[in-house]
Parts: sequence; structure tokens; C-alpha cells
Amino acid sequence: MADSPAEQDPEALTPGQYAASMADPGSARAALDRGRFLTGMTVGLGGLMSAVIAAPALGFVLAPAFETDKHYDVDLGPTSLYPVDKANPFHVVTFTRDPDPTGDLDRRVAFIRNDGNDQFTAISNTCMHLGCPVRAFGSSGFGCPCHGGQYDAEGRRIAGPPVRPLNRYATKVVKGNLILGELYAMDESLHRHQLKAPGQPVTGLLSYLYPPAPQ
Amino acid sequence: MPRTRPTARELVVDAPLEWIEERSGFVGLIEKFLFRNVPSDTSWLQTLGSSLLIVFVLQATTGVLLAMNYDPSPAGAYNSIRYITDDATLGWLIRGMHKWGSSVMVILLFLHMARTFFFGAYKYPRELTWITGAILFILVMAMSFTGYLLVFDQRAYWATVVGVNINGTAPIVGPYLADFLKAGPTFNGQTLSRFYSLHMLVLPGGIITFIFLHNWFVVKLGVTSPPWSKKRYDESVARDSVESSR
Repeated sequence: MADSPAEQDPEALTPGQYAASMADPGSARAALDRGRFLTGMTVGLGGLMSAVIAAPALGFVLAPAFETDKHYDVDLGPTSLYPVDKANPFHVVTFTRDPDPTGDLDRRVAFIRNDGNDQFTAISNTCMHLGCPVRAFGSSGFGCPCHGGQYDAEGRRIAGPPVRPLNRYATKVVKGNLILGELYAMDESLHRHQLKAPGQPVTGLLSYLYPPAPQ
Repeated sequence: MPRTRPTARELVVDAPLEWIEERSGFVGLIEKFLFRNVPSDTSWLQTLGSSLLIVFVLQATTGVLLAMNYDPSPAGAYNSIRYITDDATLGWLIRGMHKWGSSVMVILLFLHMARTFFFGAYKYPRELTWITGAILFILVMAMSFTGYLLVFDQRAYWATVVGVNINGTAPIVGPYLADFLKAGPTFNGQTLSRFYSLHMLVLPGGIITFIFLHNWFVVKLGVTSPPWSKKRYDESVARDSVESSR
């Protein structure tokens, strides 16, 4: 028999002995258990309370990382503003993408080409290397001033660091007016893909490294 | 024996310090930090770290002053910067100190890191000093990135667009990281607020925390001799001194 029950392994006691050792709240074993219980409660309840505060705070901060871009149809006026022009096929159009814009941040630029028969091509000016604005060079294509990305007249990369062709806007003609719709990504064979940020491929093995925003 | 009258120094300096020391222990703490032993052959190269600390304090002070006149909104940011630079009394000086101070801080940081590397001062037992220093390096880079946007001119805007898109090219986490920084799928009004909050609240808090840890290790482990030191390095003595300081 040990002198103090607190020094003994509880498993070594019969249930009766264990209950007897706990019966006195002033006993060493009871004090030890009380200390362990209070430590556990402090850590457990403290952790729970922290989590209750931290979870909504994290949600508040991280939610914007999982949002999808809203799109607004933009009326660019009568199609007669954008005549067919072989030498300079692209009309540079500036518009605000949001009907309720925040300063200049919602200003966008698109290159509009009239393909005849009320068919239009609208190419975005965002370079697909890292997002600088490209400019049009007559009928030969587009170039970016930041890191030298070059594109042909369809927006396909011909030189420099861009990873994919220029984005395009969906177009439609309603009552004689040209309407810009959703912005979407393009691949080399000019097929439409879900929008991704510049520098992120939409085809090939590497495209799996860049999950698109949830729809 | 008659009691001598206390001197002015005892009355004005020593007595208040003793009063504080008895209640807080702060005086002893500061003495331990400032009057610690260093190897006799430490060189000017070992002042780069404390220079960094001084520049950080300058950045924090001028940053607080700039925040008093800065308007973190897309419509007002550029005008408030223009007001600070052109109209506010000595605003050009405060902003200039903050702007050039940021470059000085990055330059000093690289020199300090190079000194530590070439002295071999990152080795046992100072690994944690190096690791906390590396974290401070990342935090200072993040400070530079977030501070660059706040001027909100064309260069600030496009540099940040490019910088955010570079973040976006990190595999898997990249798109989420970029959207987190932009506070949404596109650059918007909240982007500037978010960068401002990171620049003046989140990152400085992290830097202050890690400066404290970094200095804790420096004081606890002491300073290394330069590699050209004539004194023979006795590892057993060093180990003993580390053991005894525990």
C-alpha cells in the first residue's frame, strides 16, 4: 500500500477504493483532478470562444476570394458607329462596366471590329501576361507596353510572355444597338472558356493549377 | 553623523528610476538590453540591425503622421497625397522621409542579411534569429508592395495590377490569394481600403511582434565575432555560456 493514494495509478485501485479516495474534496487526488478539470475547461472553453469569434472574422476577410465577377450588359450605341474598316479594323471603345461605378476603377476598354452582317468581335485590352492595357496596331494586332507581349489581330499571342489569347466580350445587336455582354477567356483555337485572371492558362496541364472562381 | 542632503541628480534621476524599478523591474530589463557584453572585435557592420530598427521607428512615426491627412478612398487618395506634398506644412518632408525611408529600409535589410550570411552568424545556436529575420524580410516586402498602391497614381495602380496578377500565378492558392488582395474578382473600391489596412495595421503589428522576438534572441544568445577575429572560437565555452544563460 502506498502512503498517498494520489501517487498511485488509478487503474491499480478497485472502484471502491477510487470512490473512497475521491469522497473527501480536500484529498490530494481530488485537488489534482480539480486542477486538471479547470485547466481543461480554460483551454477548451477559451478555444471554443476564440473559434466563435475567429470563424466569422475569417469569413469576412476571406469571402471576397471566392466571389465571381458580376457582369452587366453595356449598350455601346448604334452599330453605325462601328463601320467596317479594312485598314483600321478596331474601334477603341471606353465604357464603365458597372452602371454604378466607383470612380475610374470600373472603366474598361474594348476593341470593336465589325465583321459584317451585324456580327461584331469585341476584344478586351487586358494583357494576358500580367494585366497591363494593350494597344491596337492597325490591322496587324496588339502590343503591350509593360513586358512586350504581342498579339495578332484575333488576339492570339505571337511573341512575349502572355500565356493565352486576349479575352473577349460576348456581343449582340438589339434594336440596332451594339450590346457588350459577358467577358470570357479564349484558347489558341479561339474557343470560349470560363474567365480567369491574367497569367493563368485555360488549357493544358497547367490550367489545372489555377482553379476558376465558383460559378 | 549628520545625513547628507541628496544631490539634485539623486532627487531628479535616481529616485524616480528606483521608484519605477522597485515596482516594475523595467530599469533592470533595459539595462540588460543596453549594457550587455559583446565581443571586443565587433565591427561597424554589426550596426546594420540597429540601423534597421531606427529606420523602422522613423517609418512608423512618419506613417502615423501621413495617416492623419490621407484619404483611403479611390476618389480621394490621389488628391490627399497631392495635398500632403504641395499644401500641408512640411508635408513634402514627412512624405519624403516615408518614401525614401522605405527604400533605405529594404537596402539596409539586404545588407544586414548579407552580413549575417557571410559572418556565418545564422549557425547554431542562432537559427531562430535567422528564421525570425527571414519572416521580417517577407513582412517588409509586403509593406513595400501594399504601400506602393496608396499613392494611387497611374504607376501605383498598374504596378499593383501587375503585382496582384503575379501573386495570382502561384499554383492552386494563387487565384484565391489574388482575389483576397483585390477584395473581389476585380480591382475595386475595397482594394485600396484593404491595402491600407494591411499596410498600416496588420503588417506593422507583425513586424513589431517579430522585431521583439528577433531582439530577444539577439540579447539571449549574444553577438558573433567577425570571421576575421583573432580570438579562437571555443565551442565548448560557447555552449557553456548558452547553458548557463538558461
